[in-house]
Amino acid sequence: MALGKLIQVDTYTVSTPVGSVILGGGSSGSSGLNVSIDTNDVYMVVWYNVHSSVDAEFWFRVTKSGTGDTSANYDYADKLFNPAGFGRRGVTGDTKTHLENISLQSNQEQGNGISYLYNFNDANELSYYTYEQSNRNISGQSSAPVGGCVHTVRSASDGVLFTLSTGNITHGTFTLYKQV
Amino acid sequence: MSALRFIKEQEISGTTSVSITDVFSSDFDVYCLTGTNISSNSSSHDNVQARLIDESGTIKTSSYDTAQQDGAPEAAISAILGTNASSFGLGSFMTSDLEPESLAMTWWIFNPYSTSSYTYAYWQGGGTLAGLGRMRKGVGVLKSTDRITGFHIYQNNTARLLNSGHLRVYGLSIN
Repeated sequence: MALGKLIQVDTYTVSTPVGSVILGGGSSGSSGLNVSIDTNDVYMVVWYNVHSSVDAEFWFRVTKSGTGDTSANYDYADKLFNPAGFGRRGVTGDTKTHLENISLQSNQEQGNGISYLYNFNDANELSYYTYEQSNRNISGQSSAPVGGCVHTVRSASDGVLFTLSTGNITHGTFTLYKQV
Repeated sequence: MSALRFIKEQEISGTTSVSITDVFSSDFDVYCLTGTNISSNSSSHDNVQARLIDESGTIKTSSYDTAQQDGAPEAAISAILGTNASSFGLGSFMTSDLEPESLAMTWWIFNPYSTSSYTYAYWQGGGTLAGLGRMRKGVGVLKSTDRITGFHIYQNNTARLLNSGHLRVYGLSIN
């Protein structure tokens, strides 16, 4: 029976630079809480104030048994909101979802966003997620890809992983909730 | 207890603008603001804009970058873009019209209270005006590290009043 609540499952705030952040993913999770996406609820991921040590692409992956899945099975499409004009991306068979290009805290070029996760716990289904963001990219532009992705592997995903194309994540808070 | 925590509600009645103050604090970093059942006193629909309020009570009127899409069933989707603008953009809180046509919006706001970060937001909502549905989705940033504590909406045409509705603010708890 639905309770009508948003329940926090996992959270991690970067205090020293790290190569990646895992929410959920059991014992691989960054928080050390050893929690996973293990129910059939809709989950929500929130990240904010995310910066990198160098200009870098900010990536999102699903985890399988605590490990970020790097197989070429991410299909995503989004609309890029930017004051300089709108753009569109449609990508198939990628090894991640490319959320944004971010940079140093001193540049005020950061990532913020919310993603909703669907079917992650179902081994007979594909894992789907949507994302909405409000960022400032490495060009100093207000920038926000808004869209969704499907991981085209029919298996359960137990968490999510955030990482960069290069360098380390130096700042940011990442939190996983479930809607019950 | 749910992680989404109710903070404050502001009723709207017969005014050209509404401020909901003292809602952003050190308690939370991420906030959800909703506007529901907001109508004006005029059948000549008008754009409603959004701004932020700093801790001294000053409504911020510059340094907004914004990108919005306006969706209408009778026309192609149009863009509303701006840099260093005076608000989050024309119609960033939708378009008001006479009851029963009303607007509803949901905003997510990041880092408003921080003095080391700009304040970021994204929003979406819908309404009806002149008998037709309308959608608006947007993103934006206030390029200021001033401490932000409140939110402000206003009619573009000050001859028209916002007659009814509610603003509610929730904080997203992170433990």
